Amino acid sequence: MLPAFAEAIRATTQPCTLLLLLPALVAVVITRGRWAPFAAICFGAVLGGWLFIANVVALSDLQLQLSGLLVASAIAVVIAAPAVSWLARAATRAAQTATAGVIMFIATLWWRPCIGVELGSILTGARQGLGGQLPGMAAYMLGALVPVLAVVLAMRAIDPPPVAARRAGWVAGGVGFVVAGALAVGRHDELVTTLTRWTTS
Amino acid sequence: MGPSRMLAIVGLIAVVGAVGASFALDGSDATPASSVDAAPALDATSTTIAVPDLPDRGAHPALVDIDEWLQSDVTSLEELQGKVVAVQFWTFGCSNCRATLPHMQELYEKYQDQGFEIVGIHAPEFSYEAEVANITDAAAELGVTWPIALDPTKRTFHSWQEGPTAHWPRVYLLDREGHIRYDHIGEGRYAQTDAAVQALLAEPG
Repeated sequence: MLPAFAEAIRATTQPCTLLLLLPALVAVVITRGRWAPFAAICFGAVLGGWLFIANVVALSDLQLQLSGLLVASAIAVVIAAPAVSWLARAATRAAQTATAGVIMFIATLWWRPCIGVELGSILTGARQGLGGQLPGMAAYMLGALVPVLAVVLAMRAIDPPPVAARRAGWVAGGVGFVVAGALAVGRHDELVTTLTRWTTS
Repeated sequence: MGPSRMLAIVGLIAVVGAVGASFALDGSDATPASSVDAAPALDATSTTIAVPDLPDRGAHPALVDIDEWLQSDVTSLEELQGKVVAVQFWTFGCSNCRATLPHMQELYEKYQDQGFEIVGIHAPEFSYEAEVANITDAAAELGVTWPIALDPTKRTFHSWQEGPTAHWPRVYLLDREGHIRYDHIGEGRYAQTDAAVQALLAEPG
């Protein structure tokens, strides 16, 4: 499991992991680095990873657009909640935690991974039997979230004042909104191409 | 400084250490591949590299909507019956695909004279990877000398791979009768693939 964990950490430097990482980073920043949303993100990632190697789901173009709309809406609600009284009541911490988990789970459905040695072995092995590959895949997904853990820890170490935390949330939410919005309007391929070229240029 | 901030800082240092260690592990991953390179005469019967299971998974699926063949006189897999064939799904922009190419080239050089052929099915992920001129340039740059079948609509890519998701790179080995006997997703397992090719070549034609 350790090699899978380590390979996933290395993969976070490659553009193919961006569609997994960006939503996770957005979710932890808008939930201000709290542990519960991070745990929900880990849960969503592992669950999505298992679904990925089970090879039973692939989103159609329409489903991809709807999922983008859902995530964009969720980000907008979490960001806007403090400013709208009835939303503020609805957007409890528990609701934000659940939202972070759902965003992460959906992001795993957007993800087109780089298939290195370890993930390749997991995927090949899963074709023969899924059960034996679940621990390795969980380790891989958690490894991919190490940069997200770093952001959580950094936010807790810096402990920014509420105004700065709110502004960071707005910025992260804006990025997330653009990513999810691009999917919602059917620009998934263009988004991946742009991210790929942007990060490799 | 409160204990929770202190813990966060310690955790952050640990995360940075874990990231560093993961890149150090990457170096150790390269060792088996290097040893394969250094040992051209991999013996399928050796104790270090076991021949993988090679169950007969039946005849290979058809190639669907292949636009064009590059670097090839053949235009179908049927013309290659009697040979052991590696069918690799790849696209030139995929870093993991690129990492496999030196190993495919090594297989090609070692076994081509013994009745081994490679067919690279180029299934583009992005639009710029679908342009033939870009594929030709990339093949030259990457040292791809074997036949390339262009699958711009990815119909072959999806029809060969079971389930709703399909992956790059993926290599299938076909025996001399055109039956699928081995496949591997992603990078790695180069020595096992080599052993599988040897075993299939050793089977009576």
